[in-house]
Amino acid sequence: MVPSNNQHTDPKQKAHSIIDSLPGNSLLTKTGYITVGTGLVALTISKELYVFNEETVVLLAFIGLIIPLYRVLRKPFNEWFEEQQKRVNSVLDQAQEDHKTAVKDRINNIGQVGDIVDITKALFEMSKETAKLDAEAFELKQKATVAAEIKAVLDSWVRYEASLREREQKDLANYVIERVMTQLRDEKTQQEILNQSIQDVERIVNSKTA
Amino acid sequence: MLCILNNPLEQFEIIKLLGIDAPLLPLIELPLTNLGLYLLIVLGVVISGLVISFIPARIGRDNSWLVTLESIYGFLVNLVDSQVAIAGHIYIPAIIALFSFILLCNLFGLIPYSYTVTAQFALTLGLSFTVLLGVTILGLQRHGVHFFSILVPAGTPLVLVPLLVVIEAISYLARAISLGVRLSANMISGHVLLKIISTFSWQFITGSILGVILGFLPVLFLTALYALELGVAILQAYVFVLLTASYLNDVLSLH
Repeated sequence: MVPSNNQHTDPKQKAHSIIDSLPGNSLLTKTGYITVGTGLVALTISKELYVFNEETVVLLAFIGLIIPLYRVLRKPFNEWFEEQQKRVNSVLDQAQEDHKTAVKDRINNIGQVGDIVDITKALFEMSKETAKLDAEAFELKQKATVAAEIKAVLDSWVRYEASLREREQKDLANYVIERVMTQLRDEKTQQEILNQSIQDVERIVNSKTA
Repeated sequence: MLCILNNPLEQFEIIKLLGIDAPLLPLIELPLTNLGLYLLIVLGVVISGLVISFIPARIGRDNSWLVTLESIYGFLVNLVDSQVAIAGHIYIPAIIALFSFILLCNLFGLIPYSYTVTAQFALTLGLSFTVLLGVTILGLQRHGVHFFSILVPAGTPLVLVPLLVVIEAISYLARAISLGVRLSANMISGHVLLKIISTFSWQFITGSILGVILGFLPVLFLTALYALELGVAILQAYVFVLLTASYLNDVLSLH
């Protein structure tokens, strides 16, 4: 409402704006255009190039719809477009930011592993040492196993020897006892022993009596 | 008062504008009719509209036309997503082509002194039969003989199967006719109404001094009717692709 009031209050400015909206640079060419335009319209109507009929009403209704529609929809459309533009821009900016962050992260990651060569060398040394220690441990383990084996073999040998000796002694004792028993069972020996005993007794008695 | 009322259906007449005479083949004629001319114009507008949208260097940032096209694309993708349950995305280009073609044909028909292509049953029925034939071929290709299970709703008693197959087959085939007739009938009725109202308005305006003074009233009414027709033009294009997507879903998922 405010612009229309302004237009009413300043008809001179309004007239100027209408004149300015016409094509041409000077007032003369503008007048020329108006004259030619009016003439052409008159000619097309008089020569029946354009015929006023019911289609003209349709044309008027069409224009009557299109112009207000354009005026009403222009602002919401522009707002909607700006919103969309903002959305697209924000998506693009966000993508750019994300990309930047990703690149920075990557750079940082790479920076952190900048002394990777030294670390690798140290790791290699450490692994070498570990391998060496492993080998030594294995060697010692093998030695311990061999010693245990030898000990077991020797122990069994000793046990065998001991049992063997024990059996031999037992056999010898048995043999001696057997032998003595055999001799004792022999009558001749028994007689000898008896004689010997009698002699011993007589000698003892004699010595006592003497 | 002289009262000349032209036949309101005259506007849909197909007129031969150019023709190539082929004397060797007397039965074959290659005419350019007003229908063909407007189809060519619509084709040109669709293609140039797409080409123009890619002209600005910074795509998507300062290009309101491209943003508009993108939002229409997004709208149609949502439509297909909501309608087609299985692998509907590969049919989006077809849906978009159909929508843009029908919408532009409808909108071009609204311009005064122009011709409404979609008011021709030959064209809309051609489109709808093509759609039905296409989805049927898709269904047969995807499901083979099982496609015909679309004619038997789940849980039908065995006794009713023969009857239902006949009914379902008729309703399936009737889709082709209803889809095309819906579009054409809407366009024809709208334009006929506009024509009748405009004829009466013209007679009212030219009939008397009162008519000249109060002539703006029928023009206002006609403008309101025009707004309605604009809505119908957009809605019918939407309905056509919505039903196409729904038919597509039917044959892809077999209910």
